[in-house]
Amino acid sequence: MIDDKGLRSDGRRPDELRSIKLQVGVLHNANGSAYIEQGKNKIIAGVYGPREIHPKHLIISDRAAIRCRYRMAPFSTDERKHPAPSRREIEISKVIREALEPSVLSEYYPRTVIDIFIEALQCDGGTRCASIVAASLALADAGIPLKELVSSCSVGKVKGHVIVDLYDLEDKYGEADLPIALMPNHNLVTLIQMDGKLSKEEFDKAFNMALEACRKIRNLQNDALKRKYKLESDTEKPKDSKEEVK
Amino acid sequence: MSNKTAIKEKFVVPGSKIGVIEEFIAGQGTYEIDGVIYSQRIGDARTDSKYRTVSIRPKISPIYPLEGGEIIGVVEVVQEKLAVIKIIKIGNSVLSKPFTGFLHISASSPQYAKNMREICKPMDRIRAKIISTSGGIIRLMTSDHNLGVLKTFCSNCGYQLSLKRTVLKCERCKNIEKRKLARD
Repeated sequence: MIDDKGLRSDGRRPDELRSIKLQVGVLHNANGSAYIEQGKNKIIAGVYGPREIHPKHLIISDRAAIRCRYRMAPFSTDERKHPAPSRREIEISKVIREALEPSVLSEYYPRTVIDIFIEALQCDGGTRCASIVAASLALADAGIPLKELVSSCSVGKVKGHVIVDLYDLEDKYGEADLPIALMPNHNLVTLIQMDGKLSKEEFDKAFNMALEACRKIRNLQNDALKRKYKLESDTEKPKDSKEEVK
Repeated sequence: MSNKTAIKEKFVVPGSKIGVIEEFIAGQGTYEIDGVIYSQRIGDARTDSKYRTVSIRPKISPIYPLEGGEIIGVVEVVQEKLAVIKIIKIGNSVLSKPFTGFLHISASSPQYAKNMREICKPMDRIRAKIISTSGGIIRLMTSDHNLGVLKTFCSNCGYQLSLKRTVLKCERCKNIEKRKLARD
């Protein structure tokens, strides 16, 4: 999976991200939305709210509740995925919610709910990280006050090499996977999970690589928002605010 | 120094650093951590070097009931002293999902009203003002002249009531009813 030149099976260097396309405001009926293409991953996120919460027993009297639903489309993987929510989807919904919650200033909207819907249209590894990036952009697009945008990236180990932004094969056959989400300006980690084994030195190296990657993604997020809102304020609506960045 | 030269605007996104507390007083749409002022929203950061303030003029705000705002709602439940209003429009924005507000009899009319059913009845369209949103509970008032019932229906037959001089009369069953009407 790593050749003699130190390149990965898809031709990337160990510290190289897949190409990322970000687009904000893609859903007409959502309050905020975003679309991310990270390599072969294609994910769309929509935010609805703050709105009245139902059922009422979920009310939090001093802040807004945040609900998140991550879903993979049946056609998103090689083999058809059963459309019913799986254990994995329920778990990923929970970790995405917990990764985003520290960034949302939910105390401005007590007794309401902010709903986040994430649809993975095409999956190729690292969808939870890509979903966090898209959902954070969608929250900002909905006008919800945030401490900061959350950026996320996975790191891992393949054949003894620490690599960044694992795709499906590396995820499956690698020795470790470490998805990380953080608020780069405040240096706050909001998600960290680990599969497999890493030594202390490898972990430190992987963590630093993830920080660097998250900072790059954060810049792309800023650019995506600027593209939408700066162009909108110039009276002309963008025909296509998509931009590919490597 | 003139105001024009004192105010500067810069596009910011959530988490953008816009100054330090030694420079500016943190205003709306900002927050402060360890003496550094950050933006909460997407918008233009307005720094006023004359008054030493910084605030964000957001590009987008969620549609949310705010104190002092005017709403259009549908009366859902009427009790003796309280009515529950389903808010369907805030200002000029139509909500995709309604909020629930409460209208108490004491804030419903400038005159004394014994029972809330003299003010409004279920299914009435009502214009009201938000007097408080503390604790996320939306309290409404209709005691101003331009506030009150806009469209109402007969309690007997359900036909729309029409205003005949000062009373509301049903054209179909000739029933006469009382409401707190908006002036227009």
